[in-house]
Amino acid sequence: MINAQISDRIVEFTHLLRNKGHIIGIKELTDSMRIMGELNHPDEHSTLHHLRSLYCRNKDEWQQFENLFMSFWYPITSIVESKNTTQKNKTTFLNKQDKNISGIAGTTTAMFESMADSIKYAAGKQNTISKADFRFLNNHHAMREAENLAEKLALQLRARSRMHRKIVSKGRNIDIRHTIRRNMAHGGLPLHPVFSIKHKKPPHLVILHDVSHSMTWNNPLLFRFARGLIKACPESEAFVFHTRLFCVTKLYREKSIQQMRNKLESNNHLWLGGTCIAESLKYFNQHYAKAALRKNAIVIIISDGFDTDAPEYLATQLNLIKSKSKQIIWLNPMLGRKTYTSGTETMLAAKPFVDHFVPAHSVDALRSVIYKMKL
Amino acid sequence: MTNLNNELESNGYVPDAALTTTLELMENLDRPLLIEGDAGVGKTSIAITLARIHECELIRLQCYENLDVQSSVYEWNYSKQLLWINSQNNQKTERDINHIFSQDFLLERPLLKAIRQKKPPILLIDEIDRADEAFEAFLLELLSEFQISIPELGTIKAESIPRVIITSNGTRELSDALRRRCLYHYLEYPDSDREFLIIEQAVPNINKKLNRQIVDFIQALRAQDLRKNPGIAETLDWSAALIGMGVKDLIESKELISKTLSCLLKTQEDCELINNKTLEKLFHTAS
Repeated sequence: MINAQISDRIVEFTHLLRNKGHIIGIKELTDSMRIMGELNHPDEHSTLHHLRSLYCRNKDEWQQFENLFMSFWYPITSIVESKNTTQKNKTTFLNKQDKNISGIAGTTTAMFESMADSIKYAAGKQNTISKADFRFLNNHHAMREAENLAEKLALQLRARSRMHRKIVSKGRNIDIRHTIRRNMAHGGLPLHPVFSIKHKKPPHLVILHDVSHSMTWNNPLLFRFARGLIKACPESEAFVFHTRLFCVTKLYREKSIQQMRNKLESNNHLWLGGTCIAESLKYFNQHYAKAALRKNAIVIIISDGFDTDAPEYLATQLNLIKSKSKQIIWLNPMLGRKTYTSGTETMLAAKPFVDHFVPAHSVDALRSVIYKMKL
Repeated sequence: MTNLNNELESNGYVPDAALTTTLELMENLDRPLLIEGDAGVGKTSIAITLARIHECELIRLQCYENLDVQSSVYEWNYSKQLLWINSQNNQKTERDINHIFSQDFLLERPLLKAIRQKKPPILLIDEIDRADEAFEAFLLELLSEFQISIPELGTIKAESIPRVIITSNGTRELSDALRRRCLYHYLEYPDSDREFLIIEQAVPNINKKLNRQIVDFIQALRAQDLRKNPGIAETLDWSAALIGMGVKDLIESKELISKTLSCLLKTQEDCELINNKTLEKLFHTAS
């Protein structure tokens, strides 16, 4: 049976964790009480392990838990030290709390809060990679993780396009389950067969990717995203542009991202200068549109919209693209940033022809692109 | 706890204290366990080892895109149903029609099979993140009530409560509802001491010096920002390969070692990343 004082402290600890975003239900709380009551002289490690398995729901919570636990039960010991204490604190962890009046060495809520905040801040860098603006991912490890996330995200498109089997009245493959159900009126005899079709083909994407100087910060991740889209949809085409436009579908299909970057650089496709969006789109319309665009094509433009050409010129070219495709989605990394106003002349000129303007400043923002596509 | 720890070790799994505690909690609370972690850290092996310890059946459901109820829970035996219908005379009563949706025509799939066992089995739902969200939602009833509802038959309650282990590689976010029904454990790559013990147990004829060098090399390799870190299985394969080639000391067989790296590096990007210079640093760490 658990001591009332200890159970109060566990409840207090649970409340503080809830305030920190852990979702802990009544069942978890009662289970923790039960387990603590059953343990004979639990030490800090066994208590930590039990509560962590019950109270955590994901990797981030799991990795933060030890520090939060230590800052609540051992506020005097520094967080770094607490990791190294093994045997010395092992003796009758909760019993020690009985003697210590309020238990747990007199932790106050305020102390826990301040420590928990500092921990959260430290752990936050990794936790929020998917939410972080690409500009602030200057840590190499975080950058690589975000790139992986971006590519994985793009590959989700394949899963989305592979829908469940669809039941239809005409087709090639009979669905026996539905046929029997539909023919119950005839005693189960399959007089009216029902068919199923497998899944949709992946969409035909045409990616127009701005690789000018102003996109330098965003492009490492957007390359990975675009590459993922091309891998997910085998019939897609990719083009990069700055003041000129190039077809790079083959390069985006390179097995290694490094090889892709090297080839883009060696072919002078990466540019540290200005952008002529309208002129590039004109080149696309003249030389590639006939082969690349079709009625079911989804055109994805990845650009910050900084254009040296006249806005009307851009509108004309976008109109041509729109007439030959199903949807145009414009991914703009600047849209998610407070300093940028979407009312620039280029964006206003493009507005009538673009189905969706989507922010593309973080992995989370890119997620919405997958769901905006008309499959 | 010591008992379970010893049993896991004697069955070839070297756990840490946190994992043993979580497994004990799973036993005590009869709750499913969700294990997340990178590929190759030993998530699936836990279920296999537990089945050995409890001497019970391991029922495995491998998840994939578009996994549906028919492949995971139950399916009607359509050919048997049709044969039965044809074998009856033309006058079919409602009772006859109900009969074709009875237990006689039911085919059990892993989830249904798991809850109909007399002795609690280990139910391994592997790589749940590969399945769709709809399937995840379907699992909720099973995980909280240990029962399955079949529209034609009604609710089937578990004869014995299976020990459920769900694994995920974290390729997509799982729903809160699923997480809430499970205990949670995040399995990291083993630290060097644990990895040393794992190799020692799996490759008994390895000498201690080589074992330590392999562990140091692998630990340093995992710190290299690889796209696919070598898991425990890769470490064991590599150790066995080195023993097979008669390697006694990692540093003395550098050239041979660099030729066997394909056991550890699984993508072209990673092969490019580990160039001669990096390799030299790794050897330095291992020495």
